[in-house]
Amino acid sequence: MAETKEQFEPKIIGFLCNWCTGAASDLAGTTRAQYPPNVHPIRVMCSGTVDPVYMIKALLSGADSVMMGGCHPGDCHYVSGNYKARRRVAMLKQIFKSLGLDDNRVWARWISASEGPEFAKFMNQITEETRKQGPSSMANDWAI
Amino acid sequence: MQEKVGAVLVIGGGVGGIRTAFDLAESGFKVYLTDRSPGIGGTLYQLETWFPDNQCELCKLLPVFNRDECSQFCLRRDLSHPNIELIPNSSVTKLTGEPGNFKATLNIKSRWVIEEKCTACGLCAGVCPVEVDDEFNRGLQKRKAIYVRNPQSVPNVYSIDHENCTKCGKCVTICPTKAIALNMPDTKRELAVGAVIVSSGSNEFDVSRIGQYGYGRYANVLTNIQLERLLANTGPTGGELLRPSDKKAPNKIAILQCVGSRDTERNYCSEVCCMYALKESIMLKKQYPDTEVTIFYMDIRAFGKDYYRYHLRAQDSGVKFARCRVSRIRENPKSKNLFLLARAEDGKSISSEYDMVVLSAAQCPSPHLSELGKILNIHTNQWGFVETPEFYPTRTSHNGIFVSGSASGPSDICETVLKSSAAACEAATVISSARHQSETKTSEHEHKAEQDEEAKIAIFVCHCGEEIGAVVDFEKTLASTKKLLNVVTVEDVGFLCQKETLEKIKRSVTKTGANRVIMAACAPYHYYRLFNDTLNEVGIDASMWQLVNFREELAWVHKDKRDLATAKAQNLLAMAVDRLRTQETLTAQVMAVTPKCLIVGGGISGLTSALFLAEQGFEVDIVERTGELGGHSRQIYFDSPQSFVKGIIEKVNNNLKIKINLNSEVIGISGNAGNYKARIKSTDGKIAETNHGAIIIATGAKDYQPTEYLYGKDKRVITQHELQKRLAEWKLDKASTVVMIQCVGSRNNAHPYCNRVCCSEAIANAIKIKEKSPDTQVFILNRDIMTYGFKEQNYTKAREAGVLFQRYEAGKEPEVNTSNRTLTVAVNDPGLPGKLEIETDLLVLSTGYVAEDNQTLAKMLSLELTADGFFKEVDTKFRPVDTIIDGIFITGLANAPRNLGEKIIEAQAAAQRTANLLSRDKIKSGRVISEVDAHRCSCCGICVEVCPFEARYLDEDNKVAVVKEILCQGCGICATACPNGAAKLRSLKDKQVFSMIDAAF
Repeated sequence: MAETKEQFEPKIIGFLCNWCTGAASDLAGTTRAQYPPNVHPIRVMCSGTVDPVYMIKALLSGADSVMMGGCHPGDCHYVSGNYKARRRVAMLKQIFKSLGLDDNRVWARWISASEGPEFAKFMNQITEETRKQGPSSMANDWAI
Repeated sequence: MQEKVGAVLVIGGGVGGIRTAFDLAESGFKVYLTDRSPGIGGTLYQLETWFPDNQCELCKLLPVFNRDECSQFCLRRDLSHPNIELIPNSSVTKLTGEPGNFKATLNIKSRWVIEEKCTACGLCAGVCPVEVDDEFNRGLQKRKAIYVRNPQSVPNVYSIDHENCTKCGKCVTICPTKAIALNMPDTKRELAVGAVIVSSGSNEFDVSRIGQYGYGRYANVLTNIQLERLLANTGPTGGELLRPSDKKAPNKIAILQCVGSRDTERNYCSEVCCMYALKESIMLKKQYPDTEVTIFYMDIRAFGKDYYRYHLRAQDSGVKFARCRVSRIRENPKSKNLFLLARAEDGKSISSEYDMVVLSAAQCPSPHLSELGKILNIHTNQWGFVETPEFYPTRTSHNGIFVSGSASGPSDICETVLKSSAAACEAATVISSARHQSETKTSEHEHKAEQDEEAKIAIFVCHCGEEIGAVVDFEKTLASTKKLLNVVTVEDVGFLCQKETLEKIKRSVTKTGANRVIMAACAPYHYYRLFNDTLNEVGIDASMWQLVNFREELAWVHKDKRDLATAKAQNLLAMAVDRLRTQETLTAQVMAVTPKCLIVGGGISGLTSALFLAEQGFEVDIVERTGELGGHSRQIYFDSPQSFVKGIIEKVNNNLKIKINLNSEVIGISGNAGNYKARIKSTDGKIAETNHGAIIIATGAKDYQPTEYLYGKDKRVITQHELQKRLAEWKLDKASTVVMIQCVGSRNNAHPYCNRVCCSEAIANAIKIKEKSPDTQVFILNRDIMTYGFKEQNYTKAREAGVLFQRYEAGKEPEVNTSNRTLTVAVNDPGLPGKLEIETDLLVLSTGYVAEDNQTLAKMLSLELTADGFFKEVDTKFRPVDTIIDGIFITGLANAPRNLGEKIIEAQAAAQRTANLLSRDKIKSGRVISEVDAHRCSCCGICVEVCPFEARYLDEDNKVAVVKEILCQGCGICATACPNGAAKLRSLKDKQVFSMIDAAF
């Protein structure tokens, strides 16, 4: 397969929780699962810490996608942080839609500490999907 | 008398050992946590999910108070606490001395790998030519002779399996840190300890011994652990269920219960298998909804808190249940499918074909236990489990040696955790005079960074041999990073984890005057503590340095993408610099603790907790609503429990540290963990105010008052308690037939839970009747007989004595009629066309417990109740006596139905959890906690509402939200919820996140 040289390399910001998705990302490393380096991780203690404003900020700063990874629903180290996070992302996507913004650039995934392969799979998925969508114009569209 | 030693030897590093170790470490004792295998975790780490949510939640074992002392990561990756020393690969060879003062000799098997030098890069396993069955994956996969037990092993160090190593030396040559030393001799170590806890766990039954099931001969007959590994993400198939013979997904799966238990040789119930079979079947149904899953069982023993609901959930998810024992399995040699032959309950024979058969193997004593028993001089029972007395199930025949988990009999995680805390409590009681004597003192260093001092950041990057260097272009990365604002030095110093390098780093930090440090190396689990200790020595506080993971999150996952990986490395460092630049020094809040406990409820649970706390040196106030101590246990009329209960009451009455308030109630509670204020009102109207550090709720439950089966309308219908009272006095002469009905007022819509004690109670009463009057016909009409564990023997004994057991199904309850003065019970029999009608003289209803009206107390303490009205624990498995409010614990019937021995364990566990908090004069909050910017706070209360730990409240006078620092767990949920930006999480403030995001572009 001939590789296209000017392949678009999206830049993605990922908020990973300390207990599950962050640990899964390390496990992916231990098992040498390969995935593209487009996601830049920011470790947070809980997905419940991820303010939708952070996600908007990432997109406004030039990210082509933004993701948040937490523990599976029902398995939050802080009891209910991921439920709150889930609701916030759902609302954020809804608001994006109603403003005519591309809500497909906002992602949330629940990946447990032992799901290293799952993490790598998702990294591939989000990179590919974002690549298909092309560069985000959100950073440039705000001529206020 | 010699002085006691404040250290404990814990044998076995499974979940039980870990729980015990944390409990003892938190309450001021040194712990040596040993394990035979090269890594800790035991059976637990082979499983990835469990009841009730089918999730992990293992991290909930971590300490809540002084949490920064302990690593704050997934427990599968790291376990470190200053008071816990891990000694893997070791076995006890000798024990001398007396309680409080033992000398234990350990034989530490050499890994042939120097632990301090191994970086777990795995190059050695890559070149090792020897392949053997991987026991962690139960032979479903191969491993090398140099290996880690599992991909996330704790400690994360390779070791060589002596038996299979050919000593070819390839690993020695390739190891970049020269960590491998073949022929490194085993070492001996002598430990002075005050107590010993055996939590060596159990083994699964060797199912190949049951020849007719064909395990080992038929490829698609697996054990339950093998199924767990097939479903595990870290397993051989990455979580995909593929049957071994043809690597295809099975369409029809049979799960066979009681393999190796409830038979003539091993006449005990393995207790855990029903629940794990339910879990596995629910998981199978979730992942593969079209797969047919059938459980072949005799009784579904889902007897614990909320277990029955789980049973119903399995039924709802489409799992099939067949009540019969499979007599044999035959394989179709071509398709490798399996035929199951059995006889169903109605007498018809079954023969059906399945693609895969899973054997629920029983828990058996670990093969090393008999040898260990001899070394420690403790008795084992007829099957080889450690023998324990009836009412103190963590004691052994040897004073000062305790047992927890499945070493003393089959136990699930929850039971193991309870036993482990209880064993910790017993051990702490023996050596309480030596508390804080052997603790590892954490030294406090002076910290450099002042709030307004300009940031000077030093960055150290690790090549990890070629592991990182091969992917990341260091020259480029270093060059760009050097230009970043506030960076004083960027150094490429070789292996960061090696001693010499750490010395270099210290010198460099001192020389450059750096006040913040970034370490770019491997995942934080490996060397967090080592780096932190090193940096502390040169004045860099834990909040002032940061780890960037260049190995697991970068080099190992982006192998062929050098350019992009290098760009990412540059970005990650820039992001870390931007975060650290505005980082403030974080100091933990310190709070004094009142070393006194309030116990609400003077039943056997409350009394036991009180007694053990008092014996550990803490003062206790008991508040009892009635005028008498003992609660429900006073209803036990047989001799031995009664004298036991009396003994406890007497000890409590004689203990000067325990103050008893009879005829009193708690009417108000304020404060938080460490410092509660309680208002206690007695019936004469007096109100007393007292201070406590912790509260134990032991308010018990009510007996269910039956309305079914003519109870209260016909004198011949009585409850088991009433029968027991009559039996104790033997007033039964006239009865020629006695019928007992199980599950009256339980396992139905109104009370969808099993009471777990009624079956054993009914059987004990039935045996008593048969002993006194062998001609009396006794029928027990039941749904599932819940004689779990060693209680199974009584079930057998009852059948041998002639007690007749007759099943009925839910929805087809027995019918009771009185006509012509005779009392008749009619019940369906699956083997008969009509109904079985029994004329009886006495009808005994097995009733259980219902929750007390707990609403008022729950509201007063901000506690949650379960759907059944019992108090809700914070985590069913790992924190079964803790509530969501730190410093408040629950025990006894207020939590869930339990029998006397189990109540003792639970009460001891609650006492130990309380002691963890009370044993320090001061408790520290975490460093990373939330705070309030008072100028921005509008006192709206949203943060109070979202906080899962009740760590915030509104100060109505000053119109501001306030953080209870000691309760705050630092999740930051409030910071996100606050509409004004007034709630903030330290070390992850908005401006830090924003500048990190900016740095990425």
